[in-house]
Amino acid sequence: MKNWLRRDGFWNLITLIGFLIIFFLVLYPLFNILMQSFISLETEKFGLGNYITFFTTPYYLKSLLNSLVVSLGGTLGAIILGVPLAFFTSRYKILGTPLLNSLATLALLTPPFLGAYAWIVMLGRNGFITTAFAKIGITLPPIYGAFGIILVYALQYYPFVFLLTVNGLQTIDRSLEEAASNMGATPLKRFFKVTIPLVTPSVTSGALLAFMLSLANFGTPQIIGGRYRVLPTMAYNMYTSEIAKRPAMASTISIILVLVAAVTIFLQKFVSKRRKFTSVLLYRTQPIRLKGASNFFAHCISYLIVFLSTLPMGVVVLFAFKNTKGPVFVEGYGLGNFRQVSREVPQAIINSFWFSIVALLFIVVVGTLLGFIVTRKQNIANKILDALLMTPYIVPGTVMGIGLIIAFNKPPVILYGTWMIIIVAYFIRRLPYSVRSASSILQQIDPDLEDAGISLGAPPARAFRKIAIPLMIPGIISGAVMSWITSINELSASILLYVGNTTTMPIRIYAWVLGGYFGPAAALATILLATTGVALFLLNTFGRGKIDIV
Amino acid sequence: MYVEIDNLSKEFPGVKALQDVNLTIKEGEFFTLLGPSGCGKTTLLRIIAGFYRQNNGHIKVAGELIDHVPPHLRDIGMVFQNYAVFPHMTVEKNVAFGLENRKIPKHAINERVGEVLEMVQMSGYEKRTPDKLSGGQQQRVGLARALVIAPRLLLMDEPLSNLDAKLRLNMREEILDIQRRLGTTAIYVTHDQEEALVISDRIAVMDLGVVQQVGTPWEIYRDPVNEFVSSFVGSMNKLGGEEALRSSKSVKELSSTLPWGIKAEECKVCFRPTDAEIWAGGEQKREDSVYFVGKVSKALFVGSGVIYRIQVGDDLILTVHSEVADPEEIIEEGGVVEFYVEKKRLLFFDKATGVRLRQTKGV
Repeated sequence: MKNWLRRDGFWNLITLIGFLIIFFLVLYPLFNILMQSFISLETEKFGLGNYITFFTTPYYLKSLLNSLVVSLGGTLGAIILGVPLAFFTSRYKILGTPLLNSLATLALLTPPFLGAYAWIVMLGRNGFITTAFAKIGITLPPIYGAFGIILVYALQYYPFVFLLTVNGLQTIDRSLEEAASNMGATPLKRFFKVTIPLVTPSVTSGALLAFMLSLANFGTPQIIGGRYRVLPTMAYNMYTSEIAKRPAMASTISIILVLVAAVTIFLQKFVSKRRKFTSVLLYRTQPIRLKGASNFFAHCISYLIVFLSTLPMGVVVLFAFKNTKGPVFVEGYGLGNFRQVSREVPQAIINSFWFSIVALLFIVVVGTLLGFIVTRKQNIANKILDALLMTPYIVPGTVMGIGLIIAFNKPPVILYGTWMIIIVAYFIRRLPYSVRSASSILQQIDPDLEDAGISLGAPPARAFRKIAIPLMIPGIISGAVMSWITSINELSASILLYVGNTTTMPIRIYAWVLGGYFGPAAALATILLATTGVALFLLNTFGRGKIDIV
Repeated sequence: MYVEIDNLSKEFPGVKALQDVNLTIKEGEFFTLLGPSGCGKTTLLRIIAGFYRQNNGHIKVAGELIDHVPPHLRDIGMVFQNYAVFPHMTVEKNVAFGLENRKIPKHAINERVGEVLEMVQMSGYEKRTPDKLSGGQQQRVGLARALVIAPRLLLMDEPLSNLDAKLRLNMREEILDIQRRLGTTAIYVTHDQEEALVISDRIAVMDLGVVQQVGTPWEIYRDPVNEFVSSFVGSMNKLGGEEALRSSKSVKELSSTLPWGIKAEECKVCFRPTDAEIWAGGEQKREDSVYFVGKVSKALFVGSGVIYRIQVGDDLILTVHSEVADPEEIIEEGGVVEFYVEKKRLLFFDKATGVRLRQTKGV
């Protein structure tokens, strides 16, 4: 017994902590939602009543359909934008490719509801483009509803497809395409018979990410959707509405949402299992320089895609400096909006930084330790833990928020209403990514290095500290920046969990946008964007590791 | 015995990696585990190091049972196939790591690091980082690092297999020199039979998780206990018993009866290509040998001699490794040739089990 403790005690403790985290912060809240989802609206009896109501009432069923439509639409859009951009920038010499990469990453990391809001500023009922066209007698189609949501999703999530496809293209060994040519394939045939099949798994995994995040997104459809309700907005409104509050139905919708996400992941795993390619990478393909019209065309397309996705950011920053009077923009530029922000919501800014930094500490420490055990200490318990750690990934923020409320607004643990519950939400939502990232860093570090340290007399904890950690540091830092950016931009769970004095920047922006106060919303959003941008810039400049968006 | 491995077994899900391994190793011995990949040799080494835990059996080092000693307290040095030199530490720091774990005073550390680096010919590289070192230099650091802690046992897991051919030959002698000088008991893992023969005091040949034979290099090469050992260590011509009778000739018809009452249909007859000699026509045929006639289908010049592939029967090709002094001596492809093997060089194996058939007592 004593030997067992000396040998594996430390790591077994980490495994135990991992299980406790998953049980208390994910499974227990989900179980609470599940239980509540069976309590019938009318009769308050336990049964499938709510599910029957959901699937027989067009009003509810429509939201499921809508969710699938906009998620698939957004994913398709992301593929249409991401794949050509990836091909152009990795197969041809496009000037300023690093800039395009950075802008695409930035676009990806800004909260999507900001994009939604910016498109309303441009193309909404009183949007400046809409009114400009109206003056010359052209009525633009309304941006609200499915079209707007799909537009925002496509422009928000195409960088997933883009960056992963670039990675896929770059890891196809040059000799594979050369062999195809050598065996007499025309360039077109080579492209469709060799290149496309080899890069398909990368495109698919990018598309999956786009789909999952579109499905879970709450802010965008809430802002730009109008009456077009999707599952997360439906659940949110059912849960919070003062007039028609139906928490049980919100729970039912939440469970359905989680099921859709789970089925998607399952299908993707099933499909990708049969299509996994491994080949030796000796020579990378070098991009070639295009000439004349095709060169011009490739540049135009590439820049247009990236421009469209960064346009919302530009609009937000521009409108932050526009003078406003109440909800109305007036002539001239100034710092009025920023003054209003610093006067009215300094607490939101402080909270955002404070919450996200505290959450980050937990995310990094716990994520790294758990990433280590699921990669290096493979036993049955850790394999189960590894699978369980992915559950937050399929739980949309709205659902997580509802779950945390139900679970922690009653004894024995009351967290609802405190700042801790927001940190818990940040932490648990980001944990799977952090574990994945630590694990993928570790997979690139030879386990023999740690064994060597141990055989030289270092106890396991010391070997971890002196050998694994220093080698992981670059990857940990880049993962930490990503976690921090996602946390500080988090809206869909915290919007359910905040109370007056625990409001954050995204919540405040959202509230202002809904209330029509675009000026201060833009100013606060600019602060958020600048923070994200600075963090990315620092990482790019000083970080040694590659930025890992996934 | 210095190292005692007693009835050791290890199972991975679905695979029996080691089955009832019994080995004893003397103090100061250079002991090699030899076998094809997947034979369990690395598993055994990692169990001795403490990275895996056996399912059954015991290990004793210097009289101490180490089954339950965690790897960092075993005082066993290990050299890894891929060097495993810490990339974030200088050469000096790498070598000092084990001493720091042992809370040895700073000045003593510096002194011993200097000594051991000199021993592996890496003096002057103290401040280098591993990415500035060649593979051979990295492995020297790996060796120095394992030796500096004065381990009671040194384990080496294919330490030379990632190096190029020439360097490999130099390094293996260096390793041997250092081991002799320090008198450290060493267990060496390799799949390279030549390396094993050159470097070892004794060899354990392993296959499918079972120790097939333990012996000196000479015993392993000349007196293999079964067909696997005979063909894994060195190359071997193999003939079915009946085939051998059909295709060989003998002056005194000796070949028509196999020795020791072995039945032709139940055995395989084997001999090493180096044990066959080309018969140079005129001279008297030897009574102690069997003769084969065939047509040279390939003559491969390998520097030290020529390897002939000789078509002896319809689907029987035998290999003869012959030393050649003059280019004129080389027999052209297509030429008919007669060659002979001394009868005492013939090895007989049971066709079904592969077990070596020997003279039974009293026959």
